[in-house]
Amino acid sequence: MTSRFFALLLAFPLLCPSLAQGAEPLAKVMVFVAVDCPIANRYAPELNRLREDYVGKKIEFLLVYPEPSLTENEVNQHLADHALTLPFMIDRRHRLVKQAGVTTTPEVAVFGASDEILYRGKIDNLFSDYGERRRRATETYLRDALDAILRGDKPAISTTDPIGCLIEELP
Amino acid sequence: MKAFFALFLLAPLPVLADGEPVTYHRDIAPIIYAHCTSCHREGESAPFPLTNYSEVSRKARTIRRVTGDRYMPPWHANSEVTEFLNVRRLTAEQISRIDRWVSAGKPEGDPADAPDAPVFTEGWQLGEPDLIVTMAEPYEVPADGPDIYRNFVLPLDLAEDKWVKAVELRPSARGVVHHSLFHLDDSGTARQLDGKDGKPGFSGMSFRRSGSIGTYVPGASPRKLPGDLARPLPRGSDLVLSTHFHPSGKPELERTTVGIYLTDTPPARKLEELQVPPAFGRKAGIDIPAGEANFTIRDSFTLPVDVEAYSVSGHAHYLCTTMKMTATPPEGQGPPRILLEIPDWDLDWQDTYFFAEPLVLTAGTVIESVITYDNSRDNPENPHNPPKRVKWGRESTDEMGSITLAGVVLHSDEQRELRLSLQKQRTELFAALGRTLKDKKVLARLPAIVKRLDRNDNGILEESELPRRLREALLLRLDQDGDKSLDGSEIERLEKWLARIETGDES
Repeated sequence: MTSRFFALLLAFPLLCPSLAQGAEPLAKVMVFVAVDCPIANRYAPELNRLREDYVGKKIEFLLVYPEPSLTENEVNQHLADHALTLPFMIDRRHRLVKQAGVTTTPEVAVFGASDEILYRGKIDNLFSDYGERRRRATETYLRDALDAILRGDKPAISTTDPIGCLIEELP
Repeated sequence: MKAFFALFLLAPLPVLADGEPVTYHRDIAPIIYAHCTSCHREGESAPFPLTNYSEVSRKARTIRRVTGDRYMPPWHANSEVTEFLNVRRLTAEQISRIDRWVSAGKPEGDPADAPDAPVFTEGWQLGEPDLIVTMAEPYEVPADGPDIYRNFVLPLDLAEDKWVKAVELRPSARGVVHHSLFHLDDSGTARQLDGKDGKPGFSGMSFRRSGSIGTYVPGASPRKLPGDLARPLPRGSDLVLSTHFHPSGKPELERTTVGIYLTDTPPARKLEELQVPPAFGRKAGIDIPAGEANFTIRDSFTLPVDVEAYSVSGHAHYLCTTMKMTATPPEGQGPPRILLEIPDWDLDWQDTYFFAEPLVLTAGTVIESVITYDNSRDNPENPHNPPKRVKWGRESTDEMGSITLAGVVLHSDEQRELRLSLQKQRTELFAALGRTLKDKKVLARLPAIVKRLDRNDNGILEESELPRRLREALLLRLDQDGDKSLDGSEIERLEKWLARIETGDES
């Protein structure tokens, strides 16, 4: 398991060129999404806001599509439809899925500077179950985790149960 | 297509002994085709297609999860206690078959075992409608934010009275249109509100509804009313679509087209709608304390004549948790029967449930509704955080609660008796409203109330001085000169109106 984390640490800047520039980020956020998951799509505006709010603060974001048969064209179309401005990669062999230990889209995994997972789970509590949606989120798990990291603390909540479309096992 | 589904009902279900492999083509495709594909296909409202092995396999774990907890297919009525038409609910055996298939690694099996793929009617489901109307301008649904309720006025410009057999709604952005109610307005009040905020349509429910010609929820296919039944569509009525939108994460433009199937002949027996409690629960005591997790309202109505009932549907907002309508026949005429039981009310799926066979309910039968609410913090759909006291109201953050039973009199000469009885239900409602006004001495206090509201002391109540919750309704009803304020003579009208309600003369 540890070696996988190191592999990820090494791979991350290569996967995401913007990370290679400038100072080492304090945290890296992988956001697992799908082109056709309605709950994941509902988060597109919040993902753009997150990037705007945190990118200047040494927090890096990467959209991950864990779908073996997905093409770059399909992803580009999805990004354009939802005005998403985050860097992405298609995780066809589920390397990142395994390294982050995620099961669902949307689900986020936050890696600290020494590559430990500091938070994994929901972005917020907008959805409490399938079809159960609050008017607005009352718990902002990902933002709280990032704010704690920026303060030099550990996130108070380190995992939440994601809700959305389950990632299929590879054939 | 009907024959196709009938075949499934007749064919014996495959008996799967433990250990026998479940395959897609033989065991899963029949479930998907019969219960999922009508919405999960290109151009329909569901988010991804489920029409073949590859598409189903790509979402198999999600399908297992959402069928396992019965989120999908959407069906909220208890169909074990009441027999309905077009039940979308899966059986326990079907759910377990899907589970076993996914656990076994989603084996495809032999395509030769596959049932024929369903054939769907392209375009209008009931053929070319008699009347087709489209929203004049598209309405922009933003990418983000809370759900939106918006009314759109579609003038029908009918020169004579017509009767409606069916209505089909065709949204341009199916992914964001959650449901739509088809109201009628013969007073032109909706037209006055249309576009006032610079966008097509209007918000709030303060127009005067003069009737309804049906509803649209995803998954329910349009159907014509049975026999000669039809809903009245008086000449000069505007169609007002009350549409509920779910933002999807990307901006969408909605320009709805509506097809209406008409007939010129009125039905021999009028389709009556009995609401219990009446007026969506207006005087049913809906006043739910903040934090109250189990609040109940109940109301009943005794049928004066024999009735043949066709369908049942509920209406409430986010705090409602359960609904139940029971019919208790007079002593000695059989046991009570449940007409509708919704153990997990969900505003998103306000279906109309059609009984498998029309139900005959004899004179003297008591129709009782029991509706419960959860206004605690533990209800994730609670629109208020922290919870606050919620009363009856037209906005989605207020509450409502009623169950509607639709049917006709069994004997056509008893129409008038049923009408009178329904009229009495309405009169009692206004009487209750009158008692409240009396109890609170509203009429006596009116001059003082007006004086307090009139902050600039000019004898005129400007729009900004009117209580926010009542603003639109008061202006609509009383503002004769349309200057968005109530002057002396208009305040007098208010006084007379309140007096009529208090004495029970208003109905």
